[in-house]
Amino acid sequence: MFAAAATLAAAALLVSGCGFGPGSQEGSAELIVSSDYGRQVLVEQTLEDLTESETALRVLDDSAEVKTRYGGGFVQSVDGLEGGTEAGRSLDWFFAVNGIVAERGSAEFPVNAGDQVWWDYRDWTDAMDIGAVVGAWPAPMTGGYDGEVWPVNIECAGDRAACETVRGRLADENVDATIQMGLGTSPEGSLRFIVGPWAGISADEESMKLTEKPARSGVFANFEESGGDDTLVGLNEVSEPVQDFGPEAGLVAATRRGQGPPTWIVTGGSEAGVEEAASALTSADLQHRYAAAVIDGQIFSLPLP
Amino acid sequence: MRQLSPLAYVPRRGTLQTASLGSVGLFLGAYLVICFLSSDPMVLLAATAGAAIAGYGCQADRAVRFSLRLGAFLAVSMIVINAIVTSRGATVLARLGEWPILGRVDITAEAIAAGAIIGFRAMGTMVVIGVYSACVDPDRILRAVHGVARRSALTATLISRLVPLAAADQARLSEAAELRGPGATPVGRAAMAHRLLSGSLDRSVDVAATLELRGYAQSSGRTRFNREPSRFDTRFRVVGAVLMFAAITSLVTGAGEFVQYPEIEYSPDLSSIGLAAMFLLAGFTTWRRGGRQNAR
Repeated sequence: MFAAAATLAAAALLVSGCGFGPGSQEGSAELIVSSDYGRQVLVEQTLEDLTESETALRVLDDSAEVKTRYGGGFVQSVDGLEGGTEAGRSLDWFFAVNGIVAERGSAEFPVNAGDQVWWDYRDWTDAMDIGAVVGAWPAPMTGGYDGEVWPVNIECAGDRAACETVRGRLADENVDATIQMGLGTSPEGSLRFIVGPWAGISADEESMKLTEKPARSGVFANFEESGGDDTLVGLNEVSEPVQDFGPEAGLVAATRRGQGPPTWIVTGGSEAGVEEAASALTSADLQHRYAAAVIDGQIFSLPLP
Repeated sequence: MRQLSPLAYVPRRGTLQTASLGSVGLFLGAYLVICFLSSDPMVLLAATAGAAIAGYGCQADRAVRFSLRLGAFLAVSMIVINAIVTSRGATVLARLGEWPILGRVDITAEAIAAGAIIGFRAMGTMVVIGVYSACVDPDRILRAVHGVARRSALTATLISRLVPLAAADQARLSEAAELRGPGATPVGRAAMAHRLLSGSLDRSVDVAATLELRGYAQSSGRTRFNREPSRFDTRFRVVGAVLMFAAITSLVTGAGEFVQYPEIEYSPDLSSIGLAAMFLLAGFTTWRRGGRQNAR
């Protein structure tokens, strides 16, 4: 009787994911370790032997020399690159899983097969709160975040051609997306792509963030009106305007409010700029970038150096 | 007969009992400081053992055993609790699945080690406090504070006298209630508390009247309590100062650093071995020549 009960209990524990050792899981994950907003890649590798107990910190610790603080909950240094203050600027390690900057500690954040974990050492003095980045394309749409995968909606505020390009790029990654004309048409809880020229999308609550400084928007770019056109201006890490890309440039950026799904913004000063931005929705063009400015097929990482 | 608490002070002719408060404070204070500052398991265990040896040297056997038992219980509790609530650390020993509130629970070697360090700290602190409590006369402390905080010293003196008295009252009342025979209505806790409280209030009024009659209400000059200096004072001062210096130096230099997260890293160097040996052997400072038997 006792033996049967013990066997049943053991079986229940095994079914509920219990067991000795770290366990194992099928599939692989991707780890990127970089500095300066992804400009310098230090480690990039595919993690094949994933365990059931994998966390964002454990995958980093497997691939680099890590030192932590505050009871192991905060990464202080990776391969000797240590967080702290340098010439009055604050630098630390941040991580994003599938392009979403985690709101939980890395030691508590589980990593599953298919996830992309990106650790970046950056100056956060002017932008502590960056909710989402574009460098993990297409992981936010294919893998979701923290066990949740959202439906994808494209809100079209300009020419349908650019929206079709966005849908095509998503389809290339096996993501089904619905195009809806007009802003704010996506159902609650869906991942939004806002596609259209800046003049058409600037009234949207999420897009409107771009009118503010990176400290609030999390994006090192904004649009300025010049001679009746909206011109894209790229900022550097200290939020200073560095380059005027002009009205023909496009912008791909991601934002996130609270704990909901991210919003991707595909825009430009003109329809041509939007088309440029939509065409840049590929892994090759977006990898290791927080946001991207596109002009004449050339991609610029934001913030600018 | 009611048994005294194992931590209660018992007058004996031990070295700590006869030494001055300052020298005992410095000596045992150094042990307390190392327990709080160090995260080196070897140093923490050596300091715990040293404090226990010091206690045995002054016949505080019961206090040491009690503190060690309590400390060990605390240490085990800390290890178990930390292992369950903290899933940090690279070496996963077991997966306990998803728990309500806690989420995913992984038992890691690092969390166990971190819990053990907190536990060793608690155990060392318990032993030092146990030895202090059993070897240092509380009345001497009250006399020492009398000069700087007269009213507080008086309050503390009264409490230290009246609380045991209330406990004795309760024992007497319970005994009297039991002697009424098996047919009598049992006395409830509320009735007992009511009786004790009214008795305590009566006694407080008597004490207040006595204090007034003796002129405690009038301000007076400081009373000096002179005592013969102990021949052990210098010994405890010197050893205490050396231990304190070593403890603080080890903190500054980071000797014997024990890293728990993300992976356990421990490489005891000569300085941490020396520090551990120092705190262990310093426990014998309380022993008299010829062993502890001669200390009676």
